[in-house]
Amino acid sequence: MTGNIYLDLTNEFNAGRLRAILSSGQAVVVHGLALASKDGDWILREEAECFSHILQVLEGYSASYRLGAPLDMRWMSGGWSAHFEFNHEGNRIRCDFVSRPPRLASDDLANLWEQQESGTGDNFPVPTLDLRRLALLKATRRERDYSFIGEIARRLPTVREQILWSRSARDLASLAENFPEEVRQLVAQRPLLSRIGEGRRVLQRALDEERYFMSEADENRLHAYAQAAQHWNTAWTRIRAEIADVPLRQAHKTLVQHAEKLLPEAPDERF
Amino acid sequence: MNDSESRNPMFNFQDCDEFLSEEDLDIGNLPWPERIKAWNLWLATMQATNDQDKDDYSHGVFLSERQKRELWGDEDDENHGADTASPPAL
Repeated sequence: MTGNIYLDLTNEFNAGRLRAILSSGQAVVVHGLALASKDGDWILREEAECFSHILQVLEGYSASYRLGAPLDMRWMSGGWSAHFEFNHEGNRIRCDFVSRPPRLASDDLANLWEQQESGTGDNFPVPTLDLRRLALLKATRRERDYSFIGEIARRLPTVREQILWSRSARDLASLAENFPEEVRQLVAQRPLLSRIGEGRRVLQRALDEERYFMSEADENRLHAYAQAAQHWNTAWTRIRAEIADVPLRQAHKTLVQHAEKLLPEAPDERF
Repeated sequence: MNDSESRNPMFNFQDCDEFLSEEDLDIGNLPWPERIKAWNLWLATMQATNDQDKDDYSHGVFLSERQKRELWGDEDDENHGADTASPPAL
């Protein structure tokens, strides 16, 4: 036992094999950046055995489902998220899971699992999302997440990654001065790099505009899921009452039965 | 390893934009036993905000009604009636 519930949960999730990678807010703590979130987030390997094991662990904590998708291949593969909550030693503990994190290409996700399995990367107490992919996940609708990206960018292991992720006009100017060829090569990938020579004010405006577009993209993604979940949301109060006092794995079966009628497996599907 | 792959000494850059405070970043200076203690203390202290965020989501694709209103106003309520498909009965 590590003494921290989120580290301990990660270890329990990974008993016997790698199933879960600590992500988002608690990964920020592991990387030594800040204490920033009360909730735990994990990226799960998209296999039925993994989901079954997670449910078993959570049942041991008397966890219950929050409004969310069932922890089931059909919905998780559609990019949905599953959410749980329990009380532990006086603290409200929330566990959020995805198996298809946003903005991670499928080959990048596959590489993530390969890298974690081979043990390459940082020497952390539990499998933890690396900084580059953490920056990807932080490109959300929330303005404060971009502060994390700004700090993360300074710690990325290669100059190319720092150029692609920097949120600072000053840092980008320095990078351009020291690594002009790399900046030139990356303009196609990140157009605002072409504005580095126009001065800090212009570049900062370009950074703000870039952040706006990233934020808007995340909002649009969430809107699609919100639209797809309308019937599910409407029915949730009744579903929750139905599963309130049963063990989690039994509640899960009930949840799946309802989700088959009310929650599309992907946001672009309709009943 | 070429220059592009080497680590850039960005941390030595004197005139930096500040994204996270020194207090935030101090967590990274703590050895693991102390970091865990600080982490646990922070989690316990932040329980005081549970009532405020009891319906909210920090990650994933679900949002509370409050979070939806903050993002999109009341457009979901306005559009709900336009959905011609009735939800299946439970």
